[in-house]
Amino acid sequence: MTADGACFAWNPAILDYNFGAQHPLDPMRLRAFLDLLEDAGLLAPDDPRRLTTTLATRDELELVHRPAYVDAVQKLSEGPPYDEALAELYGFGSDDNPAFEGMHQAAAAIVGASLAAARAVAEGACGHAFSPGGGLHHALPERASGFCIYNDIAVAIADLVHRREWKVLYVDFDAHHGDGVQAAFYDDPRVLTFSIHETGRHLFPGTGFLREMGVGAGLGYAVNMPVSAFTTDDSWVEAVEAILPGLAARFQPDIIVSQHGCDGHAWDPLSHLRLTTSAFARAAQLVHELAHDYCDGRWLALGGGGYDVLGVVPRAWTLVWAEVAHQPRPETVPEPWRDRWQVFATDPLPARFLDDPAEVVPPIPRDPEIVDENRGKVAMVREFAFPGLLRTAFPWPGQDRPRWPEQRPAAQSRTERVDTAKGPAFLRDLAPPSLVARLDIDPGMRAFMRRPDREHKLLINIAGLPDTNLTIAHTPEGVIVGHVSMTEAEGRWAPVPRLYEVAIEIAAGWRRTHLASHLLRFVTSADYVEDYILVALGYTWHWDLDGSGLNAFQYRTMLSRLFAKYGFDVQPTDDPEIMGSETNVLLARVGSRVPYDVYETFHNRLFRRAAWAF
Amino acid sequence: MLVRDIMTRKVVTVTPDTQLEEARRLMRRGRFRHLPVLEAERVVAVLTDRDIARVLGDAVDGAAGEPRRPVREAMSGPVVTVTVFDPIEDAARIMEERDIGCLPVIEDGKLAGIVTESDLFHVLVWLMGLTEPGTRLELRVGRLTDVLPRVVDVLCTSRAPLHSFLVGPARPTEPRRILLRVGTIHPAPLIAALRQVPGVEVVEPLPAA
Ligand SMILES: [Zn+2]
Ligand SMILES: [Zn+2]
Repeated sequence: MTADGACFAWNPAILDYNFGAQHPLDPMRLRAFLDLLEDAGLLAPDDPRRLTTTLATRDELELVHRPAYVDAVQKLSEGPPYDEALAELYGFGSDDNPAFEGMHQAAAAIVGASLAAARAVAEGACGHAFSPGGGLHHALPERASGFCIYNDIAVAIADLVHRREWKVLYVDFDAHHGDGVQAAFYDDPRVLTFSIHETGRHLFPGTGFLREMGVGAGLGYAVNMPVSAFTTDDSWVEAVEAILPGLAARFQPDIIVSQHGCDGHAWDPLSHLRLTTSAFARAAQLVHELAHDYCDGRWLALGGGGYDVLGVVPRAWTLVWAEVAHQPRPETVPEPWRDRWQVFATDPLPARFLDDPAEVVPPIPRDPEIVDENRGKVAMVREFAFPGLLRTAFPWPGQDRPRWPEQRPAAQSRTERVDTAKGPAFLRDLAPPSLVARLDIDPGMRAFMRRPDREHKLLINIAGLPDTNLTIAHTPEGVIVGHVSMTEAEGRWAPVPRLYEVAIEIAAGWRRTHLASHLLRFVTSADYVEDYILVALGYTWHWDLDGSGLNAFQYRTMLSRLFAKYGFDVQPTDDPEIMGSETNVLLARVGSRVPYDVYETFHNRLFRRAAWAF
Repeated sequence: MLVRDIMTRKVVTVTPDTQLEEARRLMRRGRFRHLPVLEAERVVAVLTDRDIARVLGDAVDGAAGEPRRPVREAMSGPVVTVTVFDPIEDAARIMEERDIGCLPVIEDGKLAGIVTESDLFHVLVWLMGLTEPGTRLELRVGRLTDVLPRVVDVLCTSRAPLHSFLVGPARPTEPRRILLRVGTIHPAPLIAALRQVPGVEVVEPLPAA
């Protein structure tokens, strides 16, 4: 096994995770999947990539679960007659999670496999690992929920955080909200949870709304994208692609943990989504790319929901494994496999791995509305999930902001030399990408991408985009030590013409040299800014305060004072995202030539009282 | 449920002579937006963050050199209060009608706590079963008295935990609605059973508008 190799974490005891004959979660899905892997030539029975795994220990389970709950599971696991009161108290009283004999061992085998996979990646035994029996994202610290007894994901992530203090990006593709994992790390800024799922309006667990964003230090580290019922591949993939790369860029994880529940498939009986295996394959591919871009390839993939036991699950997870194992996507489902399993299926088993949505999904009259609903939510998620600069650097097709070409700043780029305590610096606005590319970057420039080399790439990218204005400060030696960017606003601000978002960054070693003041003065002294509204959105979780010696509140005060000198005022707002933390702040500078009606549109956007109806 | 069941008991208060900067600091430290103003143990006003912003502005925190201003200059009275024994719905109605976000709660003539919008939202979230993972079901029903016994019968026969069961008053132009939250990820069998009840329509998402 090598660092870019793959591991497959499995334990035959996982097949004993079985709530009974009439239950939707049928272990046959895993048997058929393993069989398909073999028939497709992707994993042999004696394959060296298979990890030996054991049952999770009590200590490991208690990383997430309460001792009393583990006691109860063990007691009920002894078999009938069941203590009904005990069963009900811990979530085993309903048809969702009926107690069964041996359930502790079966559930602990799942956790053990996911843990083994996580550790294999953490220890560098392999780059990527797949634990297909895992992904039980609903289990709570002291209750079984939604077919999940122990939360293998939360245990694996907790273990990674304990052993390494790694930053973990958790990505949940299941049709249902990843509530158990979100709850386990809701206040922890080192675990960023992102779940895309069918809205809780008509679907379990009824959570995962946009405004669930984390609490305390974890505020801004839970991100939810609830899509509408009947969402199809294109809209779902668009949402994933519009959010996930920017989120990874902002967070710069050390490892990605992804849950590949496939119950959003059009054939799945438990959700109202209309996805296909093509969307699932694209999702796995994107996570894979991001793992290589940001985490030296460290990636732990898990299974999850999936209740079309033979028609969907085996194909969906074979595609995940192909991605994990760097194999080309398989195309045709081997005939011997179909022959063997067809007898257990009610519908003909599909012959291809990748579905064609046109064949699989019947036409959906509401589709255009659904696409619009999802785009509206994506725009909101992007607004609070990552800063404007990253939104500009990671554009998406849903961004159909009306263009205002006539207000594009005049293409004349200005320069100025300023003297600071650290020496002279040159300021340059409308900086062309060739100049930005030729310059070097100060190692202290890392506010947006957390790494100077990536920050440099980001600035080159921004400089080349239409309708953005990048102002840089560089030394005579050709090193970038600060920047101010003006980028097109999107989301809530898109309908306001002439509105740009402003971001400022000063290299760590150049703080307290008044370079920030020089830059802002320079930027706001251009005549064209009098035609615009400039907005600076300060979300605590976008700031990189490491090494600044400031806490979020001091930083907010500093920012407000600095901007106030150049005509920016703190704007009152009832925006729940801004109000979510008292250190968040919204600053705006309204140019002297901004027409009154434009100002009014802007002002109305500051207040959006939620309509509430029963 | 009474106001005393949901009110916040630990209340930070100020007097009319407290400096506004101090009041703002108290609000920020305690993460709240309302401060009852007490004069000789009597509640004379509720100071809000907006009152403070109106007088001090929000541009710069604690600007030096500004003359110090007392709470008296920002507060507006008279104050509306409730007692610990008022039902929560009365408190909600007062807050809605007067468009205010917070009510001081009085017991034996003295301040016993406050009840705020967020206290009421908290109750609403709990009443609707949102603190439990579950599936939301909406039923459109005919005559409530006809369908209610059968609906309840179906719910009791099902083993899905019932987190919430809400019925609002009738509206002349709309069918009656029942809002349920049931603790199951697999509501299909329950939905099928509810559909068997004459006069019950289960609202489900549809591919067509
Ligand atoms: Zn790879
Ligand atoms: Zn699911």
